[in-house]
Amino acid sequence: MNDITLTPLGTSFNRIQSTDLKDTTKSNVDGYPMSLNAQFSGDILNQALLNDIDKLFESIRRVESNIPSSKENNSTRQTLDEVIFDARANVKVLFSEISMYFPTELKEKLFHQIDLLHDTDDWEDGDNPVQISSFKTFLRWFYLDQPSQLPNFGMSNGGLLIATWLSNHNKDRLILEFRSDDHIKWFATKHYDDEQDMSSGITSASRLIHHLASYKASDWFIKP
Amino acid sequence: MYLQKDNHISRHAPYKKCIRDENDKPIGLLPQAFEMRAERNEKALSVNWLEYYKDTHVQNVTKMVTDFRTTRTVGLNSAFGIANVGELELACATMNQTSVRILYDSKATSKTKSSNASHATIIRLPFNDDDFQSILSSNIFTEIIPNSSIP
Repeated sequence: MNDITLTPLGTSFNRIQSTDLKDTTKSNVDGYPMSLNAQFSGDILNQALLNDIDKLFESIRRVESNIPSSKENNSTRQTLDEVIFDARANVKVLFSEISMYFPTELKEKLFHQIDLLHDTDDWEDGDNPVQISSFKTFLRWFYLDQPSQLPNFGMSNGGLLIATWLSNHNKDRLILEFRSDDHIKWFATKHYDDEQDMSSGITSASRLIHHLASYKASDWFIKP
Repeated sequence: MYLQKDNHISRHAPYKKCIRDENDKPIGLLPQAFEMRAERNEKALSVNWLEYYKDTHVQNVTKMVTDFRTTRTVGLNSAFGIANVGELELACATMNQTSVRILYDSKATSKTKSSNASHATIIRLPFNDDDFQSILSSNIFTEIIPNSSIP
């Protein structure tokens, strides 16, 4: 099979390249190689991927148990700066512990933008720092679908991590908001000649690619 | 008073609510930039009315940003999305929300003694509706002014 093979745990992340896509003879939804659609039940590859992810999240749980929560490490009220510092540190520690499963470029971009997302000059009353549960959903989705084109990151008032991709001279947009418990809200805008197609919805990390099937999502996810 | 259809409004978005290009330059506002805050019982979206300044469009934007900066800290990497009032109301009307308006209440603004004198609100928007947030992001607030571009 010419599809992308799974990266064994503990080795460097095997990113999907455009050449891989061209060589893919057994593609399915939207021309994706199997590793981007590995959620199809009964597939040997699918089961192997899920096993990998289970191990990945065992690692996450182990790391989380070592991260003191803001409630635990504090008998007095934290200042905003402290809350933000803790939140940024927590996601960076978490990512660093499992970074071997992800591309180096993702770490660099994510860490840089996580700091900018928490700019206290732009902080309003009621804003929340990035939520670990949202970050975990992002990691799980990224590990499942392995986009070679990295997104830019944003964040909602509630501290939900957002990832955005652009294509077609920045006219076509995909915006993913990562919620807790593996749920993702998507906003897609695509142009077909003079027509604009928009959709939004909420799905699970493993089913997102199905919902994007009609949008040729590879335009966003595969590095040109 | 309700703003006229040929007028313009702006909405500020911090870095975290901007759509940015490959150079990290803001080119749009995320749908999440149009979320109302449930914990504050928000029922309208805060915006600024550009024609309040009675100058050219470019000068109106500059004056609005200058005023806005006196009311709060504004991150260097944030941006302002600009929209036409008529286009916004028409887009809402096509989604069966014909009562959406932009309200400028000069008395309310002066009562707050705020220097944010052009403050206005988008009223009667459905609360945190994905479709409306998506339309406002993709089709309405399409002129983007990076905060860093205004001296």
